[in-house]
Amino acid sequence: MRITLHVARDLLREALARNWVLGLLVGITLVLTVLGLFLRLDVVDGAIAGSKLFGAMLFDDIVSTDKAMRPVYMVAAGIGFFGGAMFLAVACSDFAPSLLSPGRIEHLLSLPVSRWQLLLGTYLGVLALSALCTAYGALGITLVFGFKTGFWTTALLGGSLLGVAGFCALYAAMLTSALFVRSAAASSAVGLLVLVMGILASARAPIEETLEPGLGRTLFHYGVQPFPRLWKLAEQCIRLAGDENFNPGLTARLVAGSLIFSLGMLAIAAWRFEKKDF
Amino acid sequence: MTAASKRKLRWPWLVVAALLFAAGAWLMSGSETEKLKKEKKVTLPRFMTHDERKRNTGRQTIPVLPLPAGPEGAPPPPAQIRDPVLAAMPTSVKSGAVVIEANAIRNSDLGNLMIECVFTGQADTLERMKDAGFDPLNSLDRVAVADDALMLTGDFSKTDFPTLMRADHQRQFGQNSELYARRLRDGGTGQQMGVWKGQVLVLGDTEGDVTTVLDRLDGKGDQTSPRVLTQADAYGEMYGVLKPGPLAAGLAEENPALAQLLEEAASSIKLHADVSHDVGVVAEIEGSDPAKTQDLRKALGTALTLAKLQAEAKGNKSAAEVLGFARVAQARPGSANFHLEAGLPYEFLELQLRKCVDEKKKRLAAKESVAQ
Repeated sequence: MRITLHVARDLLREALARNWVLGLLVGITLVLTVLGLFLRLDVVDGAIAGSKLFGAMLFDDIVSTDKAMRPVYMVAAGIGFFGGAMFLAVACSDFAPSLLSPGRIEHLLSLPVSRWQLLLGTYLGVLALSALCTAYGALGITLVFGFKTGFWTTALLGGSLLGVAGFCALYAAMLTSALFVRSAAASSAVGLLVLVMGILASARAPIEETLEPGLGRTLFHYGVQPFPRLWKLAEQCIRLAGDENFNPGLTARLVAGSLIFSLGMLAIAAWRFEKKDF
Repeated sequence: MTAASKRKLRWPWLVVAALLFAAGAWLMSGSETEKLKKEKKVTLPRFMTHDERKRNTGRQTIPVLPLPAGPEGAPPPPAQIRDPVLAAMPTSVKSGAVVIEANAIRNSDLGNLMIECVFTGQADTLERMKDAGFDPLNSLDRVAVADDALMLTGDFSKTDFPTLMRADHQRQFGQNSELYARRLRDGGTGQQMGVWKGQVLVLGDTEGDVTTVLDRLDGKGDQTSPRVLTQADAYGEMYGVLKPGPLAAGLAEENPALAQLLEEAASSIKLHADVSHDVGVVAEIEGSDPAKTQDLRKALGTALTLAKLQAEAKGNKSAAEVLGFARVAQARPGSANFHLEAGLPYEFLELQLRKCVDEKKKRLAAKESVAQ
């Protein structure tokens, strides 16, 4: 396990040296700074009596701070889940192909590291990176609004980190695809495809109703079954962030489903990796 | 171990993958159709619905304006038809005027529970009313209050008013009305009652309270001045206008600063409540000075938030939940009016009404066991 963690740490170090990771961190910091400096919240005795961004009125209803913050945190969690998944699917698509690039893979395999450790280390490294970026953004928003309103909650952080469970499935498929086709574009496309399939799987029942009974419907029924219900998971992340109607039992099932799908994908990756000659 | 045997050992990965996909599919199967806990929502009466407009049109039954003579040769203009309850309203009020759509509330989703809560243990009163030919559960349409007068509309065709009111004095008033009174044992007069065309029952403390309303129904007095409630206000299951004075007096002990501000800043409060499923209330606070009403708006908003925080701190979840539905809406720029919205979700009301019924039943059972 120590070796696996070493691989993950090396990947993180490599990621931090890349411009896009720094760009992402700078971007998040910029959004937080804008919110921190230009968002004016008129807070009176636990109620928000008005809010302005760049001097323009956002809303003027008087509602309790927790109620006013709920939609803000829910939108942030939604953007974090889908925006984050899409961004990371593109941004992290290069890690596995570069790991397998001629010269580098031979060097890595000459080290006392087994193939599955290399695979798992890369996977965990990318997940750690996505968790760090998510936590940075969510914690930043929580701190900005916490200082401005006096209302403190860990709901957004929890909801956002739960979203990383969704990205687990995406990256497992991306990593596996890289072992078949060593291409960042293909890897990224597979990640986005899993996201789309995850959304379709979440709406399986209503979609099935629109299909004529027959082979097509049966294929769709069984074809989407193994995919994680990403839309449903996003819904729960948003509800957790907004502290509204969160269902822990359903969430546990969805997270477990996503993790099992990821392990299945990693098993295929291991099979392919063990078989491959470099 | 040979290279061939090493190669052989790779297939278990595929078996593991297949098993994991199957397990995942089984685990997640059905999760996409899992019903989420129903969100508690409240319907707020912010405008008149199509059904309410239709209902109001159907109620315009009495010509209350005397027909002015048309110019020579021209046909007389059509008589202005009004809703009797709105026609009976004064042009101004001291404390308030409110109309309750009793029949609509009776037939609402919680109507049966409300009836049970009100009438459990009141079987004698209900029986007495039915004996007098009046079934309040089915015959009553609307209840209206305007300062000291109470008006009831509905089907009174089979009602024996003297029996219902235990009246011992009866006289005709004008062409369309009858007055009833009950003498008290000490010689004074008790509650006064008037019936207009067998359609509107008017109750008051003094004969003057009753006859004023009956006169308005007959079209006497100033008919051109707008009534305190008009057709445009008639939506929701409860609507009306309140003067801030009585509300401020009620608040004075708990929050004297807010009470004073309410009295100073608000000139009247227009209310609309939707009781069709849950209870949603929209109050339009009208003032004359935008700066003062803005202060009142902030004070009300923070008072509601503080009350919610206090309820949460005390662990009073239901109160905190109810207060969470309160919202002080923004005022239009330069306007001295603003809206306050509040709600009681269906689940909360159902629970409270069931508690009310259970408690009344328990009290009744205890009373009966003591009597035996």
